[in-house]
Amino acid sequence: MVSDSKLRILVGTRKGTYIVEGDARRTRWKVGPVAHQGNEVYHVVADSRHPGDVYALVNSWLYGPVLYRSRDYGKKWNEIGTPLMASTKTRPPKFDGNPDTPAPVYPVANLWHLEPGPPAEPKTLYLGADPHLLFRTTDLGSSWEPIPSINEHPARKGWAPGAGGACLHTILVDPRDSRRLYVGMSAVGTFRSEDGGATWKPTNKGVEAPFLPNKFPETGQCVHHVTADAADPDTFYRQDHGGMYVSHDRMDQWVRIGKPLGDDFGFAVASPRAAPGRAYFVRLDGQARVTGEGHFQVHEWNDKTRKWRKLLSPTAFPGHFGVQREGIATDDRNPPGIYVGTTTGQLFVSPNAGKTWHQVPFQFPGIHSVSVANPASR
Amino acid sequence: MVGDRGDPFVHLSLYGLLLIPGRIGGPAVSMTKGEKEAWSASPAPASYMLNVHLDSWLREFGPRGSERVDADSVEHLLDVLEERYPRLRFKIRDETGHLRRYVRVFVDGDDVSGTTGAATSLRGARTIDILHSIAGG
Repeated sequence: MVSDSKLRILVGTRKGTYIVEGDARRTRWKVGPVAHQGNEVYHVVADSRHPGDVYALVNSWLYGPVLYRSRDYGKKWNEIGTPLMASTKTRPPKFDGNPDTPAPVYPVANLWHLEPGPPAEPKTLYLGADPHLLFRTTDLGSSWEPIPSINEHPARKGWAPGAGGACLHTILVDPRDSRRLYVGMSAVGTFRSEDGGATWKPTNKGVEAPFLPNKFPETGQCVHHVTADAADPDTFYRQDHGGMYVSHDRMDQWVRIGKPLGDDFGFAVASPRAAPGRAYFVRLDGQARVTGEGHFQVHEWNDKTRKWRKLLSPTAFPGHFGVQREGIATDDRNPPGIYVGTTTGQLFVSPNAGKTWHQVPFQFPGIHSVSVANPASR
Repeated sequence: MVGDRGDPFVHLSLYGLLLIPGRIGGPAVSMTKGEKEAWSASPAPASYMLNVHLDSWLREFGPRGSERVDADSVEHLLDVLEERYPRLRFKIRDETGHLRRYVRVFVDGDDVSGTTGAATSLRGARTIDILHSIAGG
């Protein structure tokens, strides 16, 4: 266990894991040595219940998905048990069209998102994987249980992958009731469980699926990422393939807020603990998947005033930037820091809720994931 | 094993040793046709004792050098290796038992990954190289 007051940015990239330590003002940065070098790291996240604990979801193109944990903020890493589907030689790997054939086994292709459980369950972790898989551990990763209500969902044969893969990328736990869970899956949509994952209800009402004949189906939306508002656990902000949305009723109904921006495509969204009612989106051109304005930009949504605000001037960082679904994070300080990693390896930081911005002076490989670890991070 | 220099078996074996670096712990190298013929000419061992080499990427999880394994098929060989080196489990095969896409298994220099794969018999085989495809970027 490592207990200090340092703020750390945890960065997962195409070629490894980086831990970046910051000073108290969040303007000077020290980039640590790369770990898991050469490997895709889809998500790096701290567990604030256990100071020092950081997880890296490594997906090797050669030897598959591997889950690592550090107990000292990245100085040393150990491989821990990686969740996998039950290994069996009696169930076929693919569906052969015969209805009497047992259900196929879906090997885990990639690990996408790890979510620590509530403080009252200090050994619980949730893990989302591809293809559309959810796992839970209650012993900090020594063993994993697949969640059959998702992994063997009766409709999953019709769950097609999105362009990034059939990922389960969003997992949220209601801080008031740990039995209330939310998941988001690419090209399937969001679901809510009220019973700890035993059953799920689709929660996509109001979200457009422009690529389907039925534009507002019950499921099939390509949700990219969802975050909860820190002050109101019933409010969520959603970046979907079909636009930017907010829900105020536990995802029962979504309202599109992105239309004033024109093309409201994107992947990432974050909401700061110190500024409830705010959400940060990175708007991308829907075809090119880069910032369409010709410069780096973050849009702030103010849920109280229902207004948008651009946080950067057009001359700050000219260029075309891509940001992936885990590519934006906030810290728990006041004013909140905002951290954005791009697919071309820039790590942009605002230490003051978007008032000023700078770039961490290090050229990273393409960034998949940015999160923040500090004594009270999320 | 060194014996009487006049013994043709010893000469053949020494010849084999000189031409096959894998046998003396050198880097994993596929055999040439001449090396295979020399190797095949030597008498088969009583059991299927094989020399196994992993490439540098996989050595993090398994044997760092040459490993001797007694196995009659690739699947059996991988079972033995994974039991000896638990971190190798699911690194070469996924949980359905299929070889991972970019893993290549060579049996005496022949790539069996895209053909008989894990079901490949190892009768008469000497050297197994487990390498990765030329891929990535």
